[in-house]
Amino acid sequence: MQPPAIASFSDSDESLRADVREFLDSALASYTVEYRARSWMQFDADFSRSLAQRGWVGVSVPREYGGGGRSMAARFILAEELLAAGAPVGAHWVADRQSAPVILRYGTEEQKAFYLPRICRAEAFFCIGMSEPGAGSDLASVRTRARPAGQGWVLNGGKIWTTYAHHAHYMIALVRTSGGPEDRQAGLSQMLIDLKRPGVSIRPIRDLAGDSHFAEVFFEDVELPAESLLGREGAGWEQVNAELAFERSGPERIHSSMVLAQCWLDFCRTRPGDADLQESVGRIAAWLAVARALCMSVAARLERGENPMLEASRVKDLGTQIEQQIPQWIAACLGRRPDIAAPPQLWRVLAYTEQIAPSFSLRGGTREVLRGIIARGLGLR
Amino acid sequence: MDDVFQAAMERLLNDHCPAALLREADAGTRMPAPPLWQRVADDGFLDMLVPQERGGAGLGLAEACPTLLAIGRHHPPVPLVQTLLARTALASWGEPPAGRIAIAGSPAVAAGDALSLPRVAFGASADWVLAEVAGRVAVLDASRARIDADPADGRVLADMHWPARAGEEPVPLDPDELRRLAALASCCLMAGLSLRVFEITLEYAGTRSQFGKPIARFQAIQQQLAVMAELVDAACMSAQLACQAGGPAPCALRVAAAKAVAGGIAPRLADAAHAVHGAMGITWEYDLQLYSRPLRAWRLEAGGEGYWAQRLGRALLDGADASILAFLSGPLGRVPGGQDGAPA
Repeated sequence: MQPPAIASFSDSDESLRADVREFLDSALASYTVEYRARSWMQFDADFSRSLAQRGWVGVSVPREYGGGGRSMAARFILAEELLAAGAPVGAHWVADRQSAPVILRYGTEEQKAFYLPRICRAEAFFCIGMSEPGAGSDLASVRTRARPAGQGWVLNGGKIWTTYAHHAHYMIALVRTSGGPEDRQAGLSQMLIDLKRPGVSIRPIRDLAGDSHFAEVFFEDVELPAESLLGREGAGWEQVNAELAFERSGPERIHSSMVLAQCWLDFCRTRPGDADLQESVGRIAAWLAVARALCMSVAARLERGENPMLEASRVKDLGTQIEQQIPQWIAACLGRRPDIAAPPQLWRVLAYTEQIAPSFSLRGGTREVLRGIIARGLGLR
Repeated sequence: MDDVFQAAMERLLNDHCPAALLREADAGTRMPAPPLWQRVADDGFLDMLVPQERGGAGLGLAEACPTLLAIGRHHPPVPLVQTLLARTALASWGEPPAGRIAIAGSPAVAAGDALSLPRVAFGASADWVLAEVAGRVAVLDASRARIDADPADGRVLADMHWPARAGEEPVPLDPDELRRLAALASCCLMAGLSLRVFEITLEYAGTRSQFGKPIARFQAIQQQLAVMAELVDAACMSAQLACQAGGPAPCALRVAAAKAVAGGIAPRLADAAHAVHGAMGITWEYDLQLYSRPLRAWRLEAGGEGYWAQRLGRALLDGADASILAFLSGPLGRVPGGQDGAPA
């Protein structure tokens, strides 16, 4: 096994960092820390548009489609600054991270010209139509079906756990276009679905923290025009795996507990010289430093046009373990020190992060599925 | 990560560092320099990090990292990584002592005229020991010491005792720099050992059959190996991070972060490797122990993960970076013009 090689960003990419930080310092000043702890789970269309006005949505989309035309490294830097600050980026996040790259790779010229400039202006928000009630980890068993009808398609079925389907404009869905469930990966296609079409109904699902970020989506005889097909008919499985590589390799796989970690740092600074607190903060920083270096290594390979799917899977599993450890480390440290009076916001952010942390290793492919993919990459299955 | 130095070192160790050589070190008694040492010296590896104007190859630490990991992967029973680092650190002072140089991770204990150094890594196969003595760094003559090694970790650690102090020579290094070098060496060795332990385990899982098929076909074993692969990635990235420096000297913050992570990984990897191997891995005869035991031993060398995490945390808390990301992407992540980071 060849271990991932350390990579660094160029000075021109790094120059973006200071601008983003300066903007966020003032733009986020009025948001509470509990709000920021939700970060890419927080839908805020106005905030997304304010980023788009600065050219910070679709930074790595080519200029001809309204994007910033910058490198993947620039997107990485922008993404980690937004996430670490707890910017409410949920509205445009899916479109920016995976819908735009997938449309760029598989879309027709007309589809690119139609969707990409609107994504970059934060006027078109996307959601991911993968999971179904009967198709979770076993994604190939999707039953939602698009039948050819006239020039287009008629769609029936439904999706579930779809983040912000109730606010998004479009869904890129994995659906069956031929054969039956027994055909598994064959006969699947990706469809671009306008969620305003008749026959689409959406029901938000409340999560354990009281938020409604995911939803159930029902399709009942939804008529889709021919140009809804994304990429090649029957190539849905291959395309969806390429899409998941974008989803799995990003810096959000180490930053989900970052607002909590920052809150912890700020608190620990009020108690200088405490060895327990120093060790706790240092452990968090050390593991994040190594995980971040691994993420950068994957980003550098994506930049070179390689497909580091296995490395991305290993980094995601490791990264989510660290994200899930952070609230536990902090809780253990606070629990050892009942003599310390920590501020209420810290307790609230800790409680929220601890409760939502199990989802970190579910979204984008469960830990167990990822480990199966890694094992296959090692030649074990 | 392949380069000419790494490839040459791999070849040399493939030829001259068989498992039998690692087993010789188990006696825990004083070891003469193996033939391997002369080859390493003849091929110019010992001064690969020493600046060119002082007769070395002038490699930066980052460029040398793959070679240092290759040494860890074979784990010859000599302080080779330590000698490379010590010769480089001493190059500005004068001609470093000839031979094998161990670096003591803990300070010497003096009692009257006698001097003791506990748990010196590769102390039994060193000609010299760089150690902190009464707050200063000095070179001690290993040939005059009594060696007392516990067979349990004799391959790596030896207690050394000098009945009568005999004029150890002070050198211009501060004790903190010395400890940093010892920690850096342990990070590189742990990373290389991680690779080796993983390779042995992967191969074993593919050949050992139970219930009529290789155990690698069982999901429980596959998940163990997947987790091991992730930890190997992290161990190797830690070593690369520790080696990221503008020149031959390591950055204090990056070494602290690397040791805090690699030290936590080492026992988890060793445990997983042994879990997959079953009873076979516990035997003396099977080679896994040649690598899994030192992997555990290096964890606590020059301070364990808690010590280095605390130092890193103190630097972050007392430093000027407002946010964790500013710290990660600044002092920890960038190498500005070859400048060293702030002391941890």
